[in-house]
Amino acid sequence: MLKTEAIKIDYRKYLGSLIMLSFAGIALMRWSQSKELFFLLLAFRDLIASFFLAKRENAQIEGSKVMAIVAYLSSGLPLLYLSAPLGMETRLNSLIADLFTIIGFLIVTWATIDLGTKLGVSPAKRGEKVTKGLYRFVSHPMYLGYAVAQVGWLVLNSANIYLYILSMSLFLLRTRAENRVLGLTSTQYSV
Amino acid sequence: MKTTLKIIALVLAISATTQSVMSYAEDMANLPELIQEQEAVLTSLLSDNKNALLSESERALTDVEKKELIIKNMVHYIRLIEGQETLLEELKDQHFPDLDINRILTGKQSPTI
Repeated sequence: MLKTEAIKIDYRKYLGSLIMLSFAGIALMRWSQSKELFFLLLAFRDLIASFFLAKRENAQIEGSKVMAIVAYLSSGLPLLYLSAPLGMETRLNSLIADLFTIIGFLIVTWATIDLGTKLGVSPAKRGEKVTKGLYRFVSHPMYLGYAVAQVGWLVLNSANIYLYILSMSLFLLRTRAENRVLGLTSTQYSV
Repeated sequence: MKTTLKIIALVLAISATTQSVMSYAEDMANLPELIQEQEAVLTSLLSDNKNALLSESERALTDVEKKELIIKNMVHYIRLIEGQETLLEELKDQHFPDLDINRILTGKQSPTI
């Protein structure tokens, strides 16, 4: 179900911006504790997302409330992933997980930059569809990035398989809803 | 501006990848030596070596302290030889009526922020 709303002040973008800013703070804290450079990449991505969210364009068309809830649930799902049993991962698994996570978040960061001020969690149409950068090659690079990163967490703990399947299913729902809002058809674009 | 931001992200990702690979390579290179050292520590502890069982204040360890020291060093040794999976399988075969061992074994801390 789609609905068109009159242009009004979007206060949610400031809340989203603050949340991303706090995530950036946490990532910086984890970097200062562990000295792992991945956390700098994560903080960088969160800061960019925070900036773009604060300057976000108003939505001309928004998806249904149900899809908004699905989108927020899907975004929060990675927080539920389990670490290695008793925190005792093998060195090779740890390396593989690191590499998948880094590559995944690089894709996510680039997609965030490409989306710019059209960034949002729930499906919405904000001006013209983005067709530059990674969006030239895939219609949903952000989800592709998360899918790659989450493979790494699957390597860390095989019990994460259920969360991974759920996460991918929610991404699929979100891509369909976004394609509908943007007026796309599945034959025109692939995930 | 977008190109600059993408280059910064790429540099950070390459640096993070290099750091992970270097750290893994260093770990693997030092592993045989670390395992040998840990074996010596464990042998010493298990053979009731008096020097190994002295605390920082040079007094003899109590039975509880000794047990704790042996277990800590055993766990460290298991991590070094990557025997985690065998340990977990072994633990799963044990019976702990008052303990939800499966919840503990599947991990409860998220790897994300």
